Amino acid sequence: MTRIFALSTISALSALLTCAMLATPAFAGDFQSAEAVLANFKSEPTVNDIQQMVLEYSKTDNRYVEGWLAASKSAALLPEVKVQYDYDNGYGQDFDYTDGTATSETLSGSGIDLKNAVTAYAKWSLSDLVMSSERIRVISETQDVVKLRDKILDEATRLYFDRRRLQVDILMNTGDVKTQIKNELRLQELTAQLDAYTGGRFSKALKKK
Amino acid sequence: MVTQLALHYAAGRAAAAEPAATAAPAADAIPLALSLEPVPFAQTRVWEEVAQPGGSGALVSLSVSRELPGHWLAADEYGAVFLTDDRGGRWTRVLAGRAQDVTSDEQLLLEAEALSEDSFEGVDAADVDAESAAVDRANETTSQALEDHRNAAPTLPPAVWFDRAGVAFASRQDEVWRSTDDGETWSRVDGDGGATAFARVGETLVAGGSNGIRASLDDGASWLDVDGAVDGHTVREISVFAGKFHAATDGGLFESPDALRWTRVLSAPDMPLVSVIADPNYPDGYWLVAERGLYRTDDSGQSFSRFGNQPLKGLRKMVHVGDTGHLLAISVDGVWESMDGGVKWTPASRLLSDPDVRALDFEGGEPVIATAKGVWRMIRPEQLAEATPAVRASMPLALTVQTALTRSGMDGDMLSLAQRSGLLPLIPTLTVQVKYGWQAGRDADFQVLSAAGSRDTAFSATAALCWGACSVSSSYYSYDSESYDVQQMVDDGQLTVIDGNVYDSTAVVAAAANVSQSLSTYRVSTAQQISEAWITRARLLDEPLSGAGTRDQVMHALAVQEIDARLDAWTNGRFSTWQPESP
Repeated sequence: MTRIFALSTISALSALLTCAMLATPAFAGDFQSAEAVLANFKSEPTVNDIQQMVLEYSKTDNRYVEGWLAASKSAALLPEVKVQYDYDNGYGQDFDYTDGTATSETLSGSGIDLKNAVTAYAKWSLSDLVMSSERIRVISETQDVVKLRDKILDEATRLYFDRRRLQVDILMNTGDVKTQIKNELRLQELTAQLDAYTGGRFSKALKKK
Repeated sequence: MVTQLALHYAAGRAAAAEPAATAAPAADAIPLALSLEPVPFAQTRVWEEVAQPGGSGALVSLSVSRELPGHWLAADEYGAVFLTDDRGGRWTRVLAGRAQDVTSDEQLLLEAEALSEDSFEGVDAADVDAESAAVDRANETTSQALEDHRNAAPTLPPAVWFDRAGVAFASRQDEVWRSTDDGETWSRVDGDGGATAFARVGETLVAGGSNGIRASLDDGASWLDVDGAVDGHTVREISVFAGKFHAATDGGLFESPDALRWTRVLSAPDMPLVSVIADPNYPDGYWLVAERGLYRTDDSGQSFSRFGNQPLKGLRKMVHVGDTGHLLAISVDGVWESMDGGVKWTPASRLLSDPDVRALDFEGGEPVIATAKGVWRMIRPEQLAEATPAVRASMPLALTVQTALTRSGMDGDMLSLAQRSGLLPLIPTLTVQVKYGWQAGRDADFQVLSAAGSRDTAFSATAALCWGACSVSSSYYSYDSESYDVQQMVDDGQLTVIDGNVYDSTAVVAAAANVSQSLSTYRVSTAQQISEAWITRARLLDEPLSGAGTRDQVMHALAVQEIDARLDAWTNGRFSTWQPESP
């Protein structure tokens, strides 16, 4: 097992080394302007693309926040509803007593009484239209989402430009072979980190373009 | 007291636009644009260093002319006085400082070395006893020299002050110099004592120095000593308000009705003071500033109490800026700002690289300071890159911040949570009840052999508004120990968990206040980050790139793009899509 791992590591490094040696890096003097350098990366996703991917993957897009806030507001319009059905079946008999004892009772009349009722209750806590603990909880959660969104967008943006600066260094051939291998590894690391923030969408977009 | 004053200032904000009837002359002298919504300088302005006055010593004093825009005077520690007529664009030395070939510390070391050499003169190195005695003598004489140095009277720092109608004063050591042509030329008017603080009421000029108060009735052409309680004390500031002169000195606070008869305010803190500031919004209130903190009276000086939530180190001066409770203070640790009368302080030092602030004045309502190394003025960030078309075409800073702070989940509507929650007890519960019933009955009478029946239907609707407790309930207290299942109580709606805190579900106001506070903190932090990013971007765009290598140009372009992307993240992409409106 260890041997296989060692072999695979060696072969991966060899591949990197070969890539680094076979690559035909440009030199700083080959580029006349910053635009000419940056034009080499036109086929890659832009930073705006990355930010959209991050928002999509993390579900922190503004529309979610707006949806929660709107739902928490409109939720108070719905009342607390109660429906009640009452059924009352009454039956009664009248007796006459001639000598005051139970043995002398005579059925003199009877009556039945059937009652049905359906009652619907609706209750609105009007104060919930202004503020409620649920709404405060939603607001608190949306704040957390905004903070999270700011944080991950900031981090993804930083990674994107760290990666781009590194690409410029690689393109403009600053460093020996060892440095180039280090740069390649770092590039892969940054790509993997961006993939982590975008759920793999970044690499997929790289392949597509 | 602190809370009361904070509330006073919170309430006073609404009335901030009304000028105070008892505004102090010192505060009146600062031209200010009052606004309904006081905005801290720190939120809208940054520091920009102007040209160096050019002296070899640290700056110690600064004064801005009230009558001639752009005319500033500055003095360095050696007494050199500099004048600018274009807001610090170019300075001219109008008074030379004293010779300063060595600093006082270096002088002391040279003296000590000479004394040691004297002690060893003629001592035979082989004579151990003689050498030991010489060492003792050297130690003794240098110790004495050091002690003398420590006990020497402190040197009065130079000071400059623009008076009225072209008159200006400069104090150096024990001399007062006067200029009658807006600081261009100077002549010595008093050699009997310098001054660190000046004030004018009508035709009376008052100056405070290292030995009390001096006064002049002829526009400073001649000065007279005012004998009194202030003698022997160094005056740091003189303010005139509430019909009295007030002098903050190293021996406490003194006051006088006429600048001639001075008495010590015994209730004031017995410690060196640097400033005394009237509160134009509270007739009986004023602040005292000591080097290590702030004191306040609300009863015209009958009692003072320590003020402020945080310690402020090495305070040198404080001013009331104009809006209710808006204070600005300078210290060895930068510029500080309070919007609530001194309860809470926040730094106002953005882009100020030298925190050792020595003097403060105002030009057109904008602060100007002298630090040990230079003169700085506060400007709006947009002014940083006025000449750069790329910056002009960008979304302005204020709009960028506003856009970021009004995103869903961040907007000011949330900030009124607690306020709105206070209305909850006034809002009723509406209950609507609709009832439909039908009834059928039959009665039989066997004696008369008759039967009767009935069939009824009924419909009713009731609407009720109810304030407070809307159902009758009873409760009793149980003294048995019970275990509570918090999760169950949360599920039952008795408790609410918000942001990790557990609240009684009826305590909406407390929860709302907590959420509001958390949001406010994040809004401030975001605004600061955005401002810094925006300003850095403006600086980058303003940097000349001619001559830079291709790689530097690429890195520069990437740096700008990265900031744009971050600003886009904060503004939901509106920063880069913003278009200036056509004029």
